[in-house]
Amino acid sequence: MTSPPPMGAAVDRSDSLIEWSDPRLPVLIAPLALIVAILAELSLAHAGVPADGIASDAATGSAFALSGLVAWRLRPTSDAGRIMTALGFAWFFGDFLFAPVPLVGPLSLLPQAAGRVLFAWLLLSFPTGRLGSTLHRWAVGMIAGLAATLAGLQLVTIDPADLCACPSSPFAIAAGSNLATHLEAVSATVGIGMTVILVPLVVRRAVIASGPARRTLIPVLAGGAFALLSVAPDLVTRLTGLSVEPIGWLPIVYAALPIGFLIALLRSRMARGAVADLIVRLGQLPTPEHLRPALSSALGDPSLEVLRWDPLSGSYHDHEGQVVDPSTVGPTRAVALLETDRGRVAAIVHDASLLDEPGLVASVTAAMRLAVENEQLQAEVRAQLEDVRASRLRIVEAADTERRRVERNLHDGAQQRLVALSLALRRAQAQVPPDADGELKATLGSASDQLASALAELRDLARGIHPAILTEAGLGPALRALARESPIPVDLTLELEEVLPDAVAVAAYFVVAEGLANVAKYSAAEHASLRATSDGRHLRVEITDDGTGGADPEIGSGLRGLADRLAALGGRLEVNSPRGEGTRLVAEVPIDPGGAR
Amino acid sequence: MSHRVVLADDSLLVREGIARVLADAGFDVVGQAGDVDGLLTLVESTRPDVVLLDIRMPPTFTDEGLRALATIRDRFGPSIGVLVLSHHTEAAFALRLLSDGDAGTGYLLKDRIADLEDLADAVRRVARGGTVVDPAVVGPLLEARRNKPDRLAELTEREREVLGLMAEGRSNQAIAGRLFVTPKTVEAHTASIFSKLDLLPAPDDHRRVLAVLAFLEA
Repeated sequence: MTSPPPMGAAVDRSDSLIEWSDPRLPVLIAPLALIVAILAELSLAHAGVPADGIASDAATGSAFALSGLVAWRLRPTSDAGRIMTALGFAWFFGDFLFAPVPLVGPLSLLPQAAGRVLFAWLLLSFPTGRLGSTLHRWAVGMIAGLAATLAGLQLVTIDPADLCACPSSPFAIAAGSNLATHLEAVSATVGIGMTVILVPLVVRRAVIASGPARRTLIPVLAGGAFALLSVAPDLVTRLTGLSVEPIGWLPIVYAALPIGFLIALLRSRMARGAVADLIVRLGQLPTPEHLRPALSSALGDPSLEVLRWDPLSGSYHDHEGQVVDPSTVGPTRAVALLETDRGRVAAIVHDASLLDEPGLVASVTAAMRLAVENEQLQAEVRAQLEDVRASRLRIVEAADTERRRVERNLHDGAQQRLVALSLALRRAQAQVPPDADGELKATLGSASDQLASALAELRDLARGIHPAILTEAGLGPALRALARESPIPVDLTLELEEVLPDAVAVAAYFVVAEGLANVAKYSAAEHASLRATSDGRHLRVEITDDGTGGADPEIGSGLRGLADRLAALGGRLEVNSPRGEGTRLVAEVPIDPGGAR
Repeated sequence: MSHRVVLADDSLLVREGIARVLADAGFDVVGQAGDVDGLLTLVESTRPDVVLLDIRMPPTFTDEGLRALATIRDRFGPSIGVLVLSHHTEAAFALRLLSDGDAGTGYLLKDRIADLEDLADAVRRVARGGTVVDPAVVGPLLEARRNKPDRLAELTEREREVLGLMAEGRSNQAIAGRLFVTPKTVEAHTASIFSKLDLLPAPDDHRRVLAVLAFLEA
């Protein structure tokens, strides 16, 4: 399967030192994150932060780190998980301001700034982790500028030694200066600046996103917006002059972001499962008119279109039969081609944002391919079965044609010659002089009689090969003639249509001929009944007798051949012959009007 | 006066044989044809008293004879007697022929032509506007009914005989001659037969044959 527009998230990183998309990486990093978290919280404890503060800090940082690592593991091709993981680390590194280790405290201000940038980056790049537009890159750049400015100010004004029992910072040259008194205002301004830059962009992203993309974006953007609320008390204070007490649990609102992140992740996993389930559950490809709605709702992409490959014209067609070239679908659309080893089958044109959920489209097409191959195999088996059926029917029909030909040859050849011969013989008899000896007359008379017998036998033979009465008078009269000739009295019930297909009538005729012959030969019956009915869809022939029963349908080669003949026509033969209870033979053949010749 | 006869059979051998037999019997064979078109042309030009034709002829060898009969009746009316020769003993063929053919129609088994008297008799009867059904067709019909509990069982042996002769197309006069009884006696038998079999009395001999044959065939 190939996708003409590149798989968005699958960025080739083969030239970088570390294979970042290696899914084993997050597993290796997890213990590291735990160690950093413990050290960070120990730093807080060292600074005398109360237990509830430490708990909320640990919870928030862990939420970032954990959801980042999980996302990294599940979607290694997306940068979003790594950014989130980095956010977690940045969060914990920030706590090292209170670490009783030289230089670590002041330097922790840098990861704090980085955290702000990563936060903005994530909101503007989710779910790929790549900043798609210049506008977003500019925004992140501006926020980076703000964060760096703030970090620089903090670096020169904040001395950890003033906050806790920590080593003094060599950078804190302006500690206690005028500058330090404005630090808080600058910090709040940076927070408000971030909010002002990010909120409109985030809202814009949510608004212009296509259906499936929005489904993924909303939880993350909502979480991010919620996190931005942390600046609300400051903002209110700045705008109105009213003092709003900072709330103790405030940091925990940041956790809204990783929670939204995880929700988005799980959602797409569920969507993928839903589509695969859909097709697997169906066990086959939904019919074309159902396939599009099914895929569309499962993938959450109302614009999804399924194009069918037409091998005759060598082009793809949409559901209206219009020819569509999948390579010209436009930048916001992506195409997944469905191909099997027999060639192209279909193309799914979908919103490009579905590619941000790696494996989603691939799993759908994989499931579809399975279904298509399954369907093709089934169709192949059906076609072969149909071929066998058709050839069996042709064999029966060819045999019938051949029988008819033989019968005609008998009639036009042997029978005619014997008739001519008998005429000649009669003339010879007439020319015998009245005074000729008796022996000549007797010989001629005997020859004439034998010839008459030969003609009668030939007539029966010809009729056994192909009963002309069937073609000339129909099945009803033909069956009446058979019943009449039976040495055992036959009760006859006929409810037949005027016109039946030749093959059906011939089959029924031979079944009755064979059945009545068997009754006469083996059953020792005193009475038999023949019932032939047709209802426009089936012809049914039933022969019952009051004989000894015990007939084995496997033994009579005549019946075996008839069963084959019936089967070739889609019919069946049933023999029920319990010992001592007579025999019942039932033949049923579908009347296919298309089979009439 | 000798009857003028036209022959149609796809086998030259058979045609010549029949022509000789008929000539020997004093008939005037005015033409022979190998197919239906040739036959119709001949009938047009010679206006024979009787046409003798095979039921199966080119091109399909199925029921060309019956179709030719229908055409002759269409074009020339009932004045020409038509005797159809067939290899089939099933009464269904004879019934179809008689329903199409009107009076002056006969159905004869092909083997029968070797019997000069039977052939000559049949030709004369259709020439006179009579109906002929081969005994080989009627016989099995009666035989098959012999052991069955139906209305036929109510007939006396003599009545069965009369019924058989009726089915062969014999007139009351002819039946009387065969059975050595008076025509009046035959009339009494036929009335009894029709009443016992629940058949309506037929207005003419041809329809009588049809009714009896249809009853026996069913």
